[in-house]
Amino acid sequence: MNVLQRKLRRDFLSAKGMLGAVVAIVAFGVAALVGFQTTTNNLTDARDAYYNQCRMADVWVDLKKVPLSALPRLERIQGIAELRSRISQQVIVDLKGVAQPIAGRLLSMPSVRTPVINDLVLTAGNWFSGNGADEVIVSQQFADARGLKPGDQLHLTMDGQRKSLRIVGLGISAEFVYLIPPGGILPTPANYGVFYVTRHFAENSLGMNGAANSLVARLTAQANQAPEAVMQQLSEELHPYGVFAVTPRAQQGSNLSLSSELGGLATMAAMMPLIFLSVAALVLNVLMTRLAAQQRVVVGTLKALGYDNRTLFAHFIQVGLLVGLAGGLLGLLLGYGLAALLTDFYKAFFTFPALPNQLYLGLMLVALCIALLFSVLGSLRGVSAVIKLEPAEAMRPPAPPAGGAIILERWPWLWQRVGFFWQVALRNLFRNRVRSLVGIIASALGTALLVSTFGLTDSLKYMVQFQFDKVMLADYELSFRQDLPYDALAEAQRLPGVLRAEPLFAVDATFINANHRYQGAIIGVTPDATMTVPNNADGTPAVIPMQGLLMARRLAKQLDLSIGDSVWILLSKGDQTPLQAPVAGFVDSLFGLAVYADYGYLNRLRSESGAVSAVRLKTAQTAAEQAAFLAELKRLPTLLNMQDMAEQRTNMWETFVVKMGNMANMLILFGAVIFFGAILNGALISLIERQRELATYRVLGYHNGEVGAMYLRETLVLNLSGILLGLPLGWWMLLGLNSEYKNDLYMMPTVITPGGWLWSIGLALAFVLIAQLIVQHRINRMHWNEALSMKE
Amino acid sequence: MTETAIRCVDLHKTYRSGDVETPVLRGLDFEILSGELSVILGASGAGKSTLLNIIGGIDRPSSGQVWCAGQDLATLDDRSLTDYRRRNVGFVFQFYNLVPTLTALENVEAATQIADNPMDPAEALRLVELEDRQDYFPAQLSGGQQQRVSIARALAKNPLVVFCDEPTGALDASTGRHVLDLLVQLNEQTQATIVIVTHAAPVAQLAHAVLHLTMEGISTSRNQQRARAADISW
Ligand SMILES: Nc1ncnc2c1ncn2[C@@H]1O[C@H](COP(=O)(O)OP(=O)(O)O)[C@@H](O)[C@H]1O
Ligand SMILES: [Mg+2]
Repeated sequence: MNVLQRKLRRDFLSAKGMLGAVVAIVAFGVAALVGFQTTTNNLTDARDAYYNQCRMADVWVDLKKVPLSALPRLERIQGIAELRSRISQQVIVDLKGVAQPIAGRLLSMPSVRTPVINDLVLTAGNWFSGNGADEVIVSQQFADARGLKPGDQLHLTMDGQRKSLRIVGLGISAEFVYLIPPGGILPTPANYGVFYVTRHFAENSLGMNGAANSLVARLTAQANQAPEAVMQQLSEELHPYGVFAVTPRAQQGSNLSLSSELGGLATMAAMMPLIFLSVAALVLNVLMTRLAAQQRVVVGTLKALGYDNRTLFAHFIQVGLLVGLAGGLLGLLLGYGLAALLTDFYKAFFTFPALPNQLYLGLMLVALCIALLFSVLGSLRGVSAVIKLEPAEAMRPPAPPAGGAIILERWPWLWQRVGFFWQVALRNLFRNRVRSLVGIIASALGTALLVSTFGLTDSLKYMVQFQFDKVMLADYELSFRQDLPYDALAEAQRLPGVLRAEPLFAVDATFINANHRYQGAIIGVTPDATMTVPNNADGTPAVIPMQGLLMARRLAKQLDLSIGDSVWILLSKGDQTPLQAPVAGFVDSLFGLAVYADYGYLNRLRSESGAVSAVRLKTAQTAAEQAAFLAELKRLPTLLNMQDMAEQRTNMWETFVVKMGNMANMLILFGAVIFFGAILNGALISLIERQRELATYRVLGYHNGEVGAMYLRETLVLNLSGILLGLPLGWWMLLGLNSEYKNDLYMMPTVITPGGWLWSIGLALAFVLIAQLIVQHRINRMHWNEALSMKE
Repeated sequence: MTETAIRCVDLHKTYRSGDVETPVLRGLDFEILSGELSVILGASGAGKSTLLNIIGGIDRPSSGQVWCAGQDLATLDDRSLTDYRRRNVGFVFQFYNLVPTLTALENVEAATQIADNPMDPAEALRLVELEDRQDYFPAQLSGGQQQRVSIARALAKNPLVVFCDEPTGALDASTGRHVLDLLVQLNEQTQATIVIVTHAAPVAQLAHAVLHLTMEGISTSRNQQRARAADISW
């Protein structure tokens, strides 16, 4: 066995460049698996610990006002383990030195710290002192973004009254892992905060003595299997108190966003390793076939000497195992680093008390085994080919490559036209069918990775542009604490620097069709609206019907509604008798599941006229006008929220385009490894195999560049086919990825701009050319004249 | 007939690998005349292939001059040497060195594609009596046929010199005789300068001039009477 060992080691070393390439591909596959899965585990573990620590609710109920006396009856509902009532209110924050009013949410907490449902984790300062009059605990993200600390003062406008409060502590809560303002999709730490006050203070300042408007409940483990029954009962029991929404944990905004991110990560954790390890196995297959062929004489000799197949097989499979082991171990390291990066990346979106990057030994072991499995699978064909040889046959040199025409030669008109050198290239490709196929597959997958990466960025950009350049054309949106009479529009119009004001009438509503239901809202828009333009995906504005509803296509699908169908509507405020309205049209909606209606139509539906719940403003303001405008808003007692669209757009752009850009660069690196690994491998193997042929061309007087060009032709045919296949494949991968991220909050459109396609193709070609440069370098340095007199 | 095709002056070649120096060619002076068939004869390991490679522009001497086509090959860089081979030289090797994925005709084309003034590849195959095998791949041809393809390939570019390194080394005697006969005929028909390297002394009887290569040096003799290929054996 010694001989074989030595020869194997020598050949192994001489193929180190190629083996290195396979090791790199394996390593990246393992890194993707470990990196994405570790990140998923990190997030899941942090979430579970956090949810436990804060005693995260299973069900949320928002309602108008319920007397506390009604609660004991609810606690007895089968399946409810624990119930907590609290007071929740949207407030406006007035910070010293900040011009605009900032939206926030007020939540009541017990004055004395007890472990309650949806508890707080204090990150700085203290709990309330005594009855906590005029004291507030501020969500840490907001405090950080605005430089607030315990001891500072701030003003909250709640229910039209301005209150001065002293910050006693900073805290975070599990229900706001992903803290976004109402209607938003991204955290805006500087512009949205949660403000925790004592129950006592909340009751007094909001006229909620002995009452609550928010319930959070924990269910028994059994009830949690199917919370619908409990939810149904809660909503029936609370019906007299004006239920706005009953939300299970699965649908709760923060949890939903986290879950859909985890879903996306899980897809990546499955897809990326699969791509990489498959390519690695394919490339290894080519390489091992080659390596094994080099050993045939030794194998023949050993067989003649009486070594059995098992021994030989075990010996050869070592090479595959070694590659898997090396790539696997390297991948574990890389993957752990990748997880650190990714986990850190998520800290910008999700807030946990702690989000450490943990070492999951079981996962690593599994990843290593998978790497070994793929490597062994990849080696099998090559190894068994040699093992199968009869000793006598093995000792003879391999049969010369089969002659014979390739399939393309059956079309002489085509074959004659391509010219001599292309004929040569095509012959070589068709001769090595398996290898060529591997090359094409690798290049297709590499391209697909690039396409989906560029497409991801394109899609995100498109989503932002769609929303802010097409649908939402206002500069500001002001929403009010309650519906105002039509005069409010004229008042808004008079604010400094306002060019035009348009009214919106939004009504929270539950849509019901058979057994499908959805809690959302109907937005009433005037026919002459210029700032609220529901758009279809193709960029054409959708016309809001004078009668009936214009419904987000995805919602209609969810509710199983077609155009012309009637849908039952339960309006949250006012009259609670169910109404019926026809679905008059569909519209594409990226953010939320919007339902539009004509302003007058919706007013009539609610038996109102000219009710205004929000106005959208177009402005042209000097700095002074803007300051005056914002100051007036701060004083406006009816203001619930002010959204600065330019600011939202910037925030979204920065998050999606800048932060995701870093992520994209990383994925591009992954694409590069596939390209390089596979192309180099193919080229280097054929360089070695065709040494003699190369030498022949050189002796005939071909220059190095001309010999390189012969390779380039082959590389180009392979990779251009690969790229061509990779383009639709990438689109398809992106589509799959985006559908993972689809939820009620937003939908990722799948958009790839011409720039995205071009960049993908351009980068792919650049990788091909760089690999070609390396091949050319090898050709230039080759001692070709020695190959000439070698015995065949 | 007396024009010089190749002239070497004080040609040295020493192989170096690490600290070990192996002097192979030690100060050779000789000429090869145009249009003649010359044989370089020497024992195995005498340095015949080394010498042939140097005058064929595949390798470089350690010192000395190699004049061919008006230039000293010793002074040429890699690019110019390649150009020299491309324009002036045809090679025939012991192991044929045909490209296995190309047909006989295409193997010849591989040479004519880049030559300045080539023959029609089909015509070259006709010269070696393989016109009916032009679409065969090397694996479908016998050793002798493969060697004839390689001769056609060498001749097809109309080179100044055709170098043959042990062209019969891998062939049986009768096939070898056929190949040698072909080389003699082609030399007569096309006036191509042909240099054959061999360790088999009888082959030298076919040549106009014989260059005896030994450890000591090189000496040239001329055959008054040339034998016919059919009459020699080795
Ligand atoms: N690349 C090389 N490195 C070192 N020694 C070499 C090399 N090529 C040939 N030799 C040596 O040079 C001598 C002549 O070789 P060669 O020209 O092939 O002889 P011939 O063709 O006459 O049999 C031999 O001793 C051989 O070992
Ligand atoms: Mg020799």
